[in-house]
Amino acid sequence: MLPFFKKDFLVYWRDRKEMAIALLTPIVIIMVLGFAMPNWVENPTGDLDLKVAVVTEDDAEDGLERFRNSLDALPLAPEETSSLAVSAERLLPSAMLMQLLESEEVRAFVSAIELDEEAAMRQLEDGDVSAIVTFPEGYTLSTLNKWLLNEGEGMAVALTAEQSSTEVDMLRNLLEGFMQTVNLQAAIGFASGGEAAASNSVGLIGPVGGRETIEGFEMVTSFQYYTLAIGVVFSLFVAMTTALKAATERKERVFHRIVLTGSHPIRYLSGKIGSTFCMALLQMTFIFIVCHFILDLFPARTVQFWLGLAMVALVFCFSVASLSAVFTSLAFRLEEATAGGVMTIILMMIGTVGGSFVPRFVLPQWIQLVGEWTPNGRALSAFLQWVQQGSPEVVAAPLLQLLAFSLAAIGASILLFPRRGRI
Amino acid sequence: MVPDLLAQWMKERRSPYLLLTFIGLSVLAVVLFGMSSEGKTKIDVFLAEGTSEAEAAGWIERLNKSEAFEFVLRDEEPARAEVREGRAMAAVQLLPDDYRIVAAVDEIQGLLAERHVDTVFRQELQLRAAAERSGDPERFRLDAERILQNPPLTLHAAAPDGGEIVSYDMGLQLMFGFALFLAMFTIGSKINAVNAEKTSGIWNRMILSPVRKTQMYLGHLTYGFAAGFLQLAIVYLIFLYGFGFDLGGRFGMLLIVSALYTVAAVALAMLIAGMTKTPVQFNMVYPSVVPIFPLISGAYMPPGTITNDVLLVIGEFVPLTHAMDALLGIALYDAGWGDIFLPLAKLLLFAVICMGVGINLVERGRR
Repeated sequence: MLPFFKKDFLVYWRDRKEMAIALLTPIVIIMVLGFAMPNWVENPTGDLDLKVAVVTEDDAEDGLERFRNSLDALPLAPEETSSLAVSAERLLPSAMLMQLLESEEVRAFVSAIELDEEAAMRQLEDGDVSAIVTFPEGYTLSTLNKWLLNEGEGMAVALTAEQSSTEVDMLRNLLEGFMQTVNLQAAIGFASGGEAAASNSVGLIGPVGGRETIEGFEMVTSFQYYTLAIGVVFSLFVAMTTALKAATERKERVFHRIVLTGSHPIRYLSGKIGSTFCMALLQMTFIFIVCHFILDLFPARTVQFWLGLAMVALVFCFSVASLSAVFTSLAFRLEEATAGGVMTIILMMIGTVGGSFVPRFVLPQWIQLVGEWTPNGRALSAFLQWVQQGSPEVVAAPLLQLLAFSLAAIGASILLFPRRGRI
Repeated sequence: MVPDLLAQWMKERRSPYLLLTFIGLSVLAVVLFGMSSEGKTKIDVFLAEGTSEAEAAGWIERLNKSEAFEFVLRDEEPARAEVREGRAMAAVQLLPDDYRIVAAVDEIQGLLAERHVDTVFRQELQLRAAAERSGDPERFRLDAERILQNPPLTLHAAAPDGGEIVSYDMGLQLMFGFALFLAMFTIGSKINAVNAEKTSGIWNRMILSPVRKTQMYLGHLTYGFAAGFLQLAIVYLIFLYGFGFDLGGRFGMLLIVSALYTVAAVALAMLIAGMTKTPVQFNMVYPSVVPIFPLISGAYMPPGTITNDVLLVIGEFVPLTHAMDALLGIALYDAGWGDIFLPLAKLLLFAVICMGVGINLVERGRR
């Protein structure tokens, strides 16, 4: 086996430029993805910068004045009238919404500018602003009527945008969330019989919610997720490269000459397995180490953690190596171009269902379950679970399954390998 | 050009299964994606000790008033396993009058779900607390519901022309993204024939024949183009007629954009064929470079997720970005020729540069 192992490595070395590309692309992808994706939990709004135009067609002062005047016409006790007038001033809806937009928290990702309607429309068309918030004429009066007196139909704030996008959705959620809170207070106020403004029940409920935290459980960052997923998928390509090189050896009759020396074909196959194993492991180690040192991927982890990571990588690379044995047998059975096509198809399929090309949660449930049974899908699960829990019991089962897969694949490749005189 | 084209075609006809499988699989994949991403994100809910089924049913009903998420009751173990193994972004544990989010990966989906759950819980608990204080909980509920159904503060979202804001169709985006992505593989395997012919010596024999160089290249390029374009067209047709998706009603424009994209993809394959000398080397480089494109151009993520300037600039150099812009513009926003002119021009520029450099590299021959 050793001479074959050496031969395969020399053949790899011949294409070192291409090897370098294959080694560097995953790192480039991880870097790009890592810097592109903000850390959502710590920084929920990312670096979103939403530009909103605010158009005020309504005269709030005038609306408030008219509301006050209309109160006098109502058959209410004077103290009731005055308290309503006070709440109206305090609850001026447009002012409340503007306050929200200008609060520190919101200003971090929304910049609001006041414009007239025409300019706002023009800027929306040019894409200078992503949305327009409009307070229509008579807004203050009719909203106060509805809110404080439960009279009339009320009026809606208009949000104008050309198309929905993450940013517009954020703004919409923000405004609607705020309105919901206020509406809820109004509802509680009315239902408890008092006036809407008097009730202020927020904060009366205890703390709810939060994320479950379990001792010894670590959150996987998106950086780590991408590094693991991409490391896994690029190892798969190594299996294909090995097999395509075998196809060339068959075409150039290298294999025949090998058989003439009296070596058993199994030794040739085991050389393939050995060299693929080393190449895949090399690539994975390279990816993990470079990403760790540049991006500080796994900060402050113990030696045990790294050993476990290495263990999962070892087992997975072994299954990649046995996959390359199957591919090599295929390459000896099929025509070169067909073999390449078949391998690409197999890789695309297991890559996709195993969640290596697209994030897994995008896939439908049943494909996710199928994907669990691909070597790359299993390995990704094992990696993720090890990063989260770091307990050997949890990853033992997937690792054993990967080993079983490897043995089955090696058996299949020996069965598939053409018999004597059939090449 | 014709003889060369015929030669490729004869090879294909002798064993058409590969091309057919490629096309079949891409159709299958695209269909799966298109169907799955329609509708809501599913989130598992499981009970903590002391939470009754009836109570949970109430919460799930309230949670499911959302447009974006669908909450489904499940057993604790499978729900936790899904999260741990990265198949679900989050799950919700229901406690009596409280909840916990279980998440393993730091992701925006989980965060959005958490916000939604939080709002629902806070509102309901406030209502409950106030109802208890009021003395007549039932009447209180009715009154509060009445107000909430017709609340004082409302938001009316609309497009500038008064119509609804075009809601973003992520399924359509994934469909286009995946179709374009998979077509690159078909095109690559066809353009790789140039390298294969060079190593097997056919290329040299062709040069000796009366066929001109231009014709030889045109033969290969046309064939790669035809294979890729056919695949895309079939996918669109199945989507249009098989699944009744709304592709914007202007099929011709979609095809023209796809044709330009195919030209760009052929040019890119040619460039990589020029950089590598043998089919094996091509197969080492091409499949590792291609999967980057949909990631960089943001084909898997809702628009506006990528805000990093560097990444946006890199995305400009990816044909997929411009093709997606144009296709989604046509299918969703009724874009006219004027709107998609820029993406098309960029595609063409990309194609010209890659093709020029690529053919030059191929011509340089073996070092």
